[in-house]
Amino acid sequence: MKIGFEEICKYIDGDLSKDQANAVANAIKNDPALKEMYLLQNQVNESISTVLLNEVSTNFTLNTVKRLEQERAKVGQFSGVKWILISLVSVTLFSVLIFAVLSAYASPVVAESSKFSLTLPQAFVESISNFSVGSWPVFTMIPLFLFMLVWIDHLVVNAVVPRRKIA
Amino acid sequence: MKTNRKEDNIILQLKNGSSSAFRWLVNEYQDYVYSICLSILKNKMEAEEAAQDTFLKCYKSINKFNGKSKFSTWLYQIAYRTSIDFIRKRKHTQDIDDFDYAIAGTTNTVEENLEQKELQQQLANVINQLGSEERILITLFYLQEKSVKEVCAITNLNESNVKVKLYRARKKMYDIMSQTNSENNKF
Repeated sequence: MKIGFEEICKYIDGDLSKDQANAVANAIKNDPALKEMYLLQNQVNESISTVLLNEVSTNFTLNTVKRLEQERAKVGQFSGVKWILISLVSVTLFSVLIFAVLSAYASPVVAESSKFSLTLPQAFVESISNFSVGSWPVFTMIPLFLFMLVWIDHLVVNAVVPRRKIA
Repeated sequence: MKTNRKEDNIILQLKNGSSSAFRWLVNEYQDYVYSICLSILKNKMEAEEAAQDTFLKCYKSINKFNGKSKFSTWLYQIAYRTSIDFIRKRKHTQDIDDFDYAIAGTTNTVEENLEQKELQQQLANVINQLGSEERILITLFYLQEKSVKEVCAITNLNESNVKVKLYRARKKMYDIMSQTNSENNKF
């Protein structure tokens, strides 16, 4: 086994098998150059961390905690903006969809008063006026539709607004 | 789980959003995280900013820590990546290189003899002569006695690559030191 710097390092790090470690130990005993190499490397291992470890400035902890609090405050403001956006997008999407459905399926005039007239899809009006057990699919569709709307809306807002949530 | 009991408790508190646990975390690891950032960035101000970012990122993503590695390894991984991001951003502006390693005044004790001080000064000079990658690997390997596997986990380099690079860095350090010693012995 040829013993050089690499083997000395492995010996110090404890990366050698028992036999190999014994061989290196014997070589160190008998060869002054290897012994010097071993002693110097050992000294390096003992002293290097004191050189590598540097201290932060005195206010580091305080400043870091302050930054955390600032970020938390930002998140508070941010969630307000986020929910306003979600509400606005929801209302817009819902209006557009209602308008599209009404334009496509509305019967001429369903409800009329002196001030305004309202048109609604024929199927919807019929299901209300002739409500029976058989009309349940129409009423089931409404909450499902609303749920889907909110879900799509949430995805849209999350895609537009970057996520900066703090636990 | 490779964390100790106190650390487990702190991690649990952090997951619940505790500020005092965050303060403990910063106090406990600030010098190590800062030293890693400094070894990569070689600029004190940037290193402090990167270290702060590291702790904030750690707090935000503490739920992602699954305990498969040591907590310190996970934290140093964040510090390493944050510092690399700082370097990437810096490339668009300018290179900064204003820090040189030296013996910190506070680490010297009364008992410390002149020989040790000399060795530390010599080591500081040698570290200043290392390339950035060598300096980072040496820092990670020696700072908290991390194993090669932990260095791999932090840097995302493969084991043989880290071993070879570490060996070369250590050899380079040894060569510089023995050369300096032999030059000193001539006088």
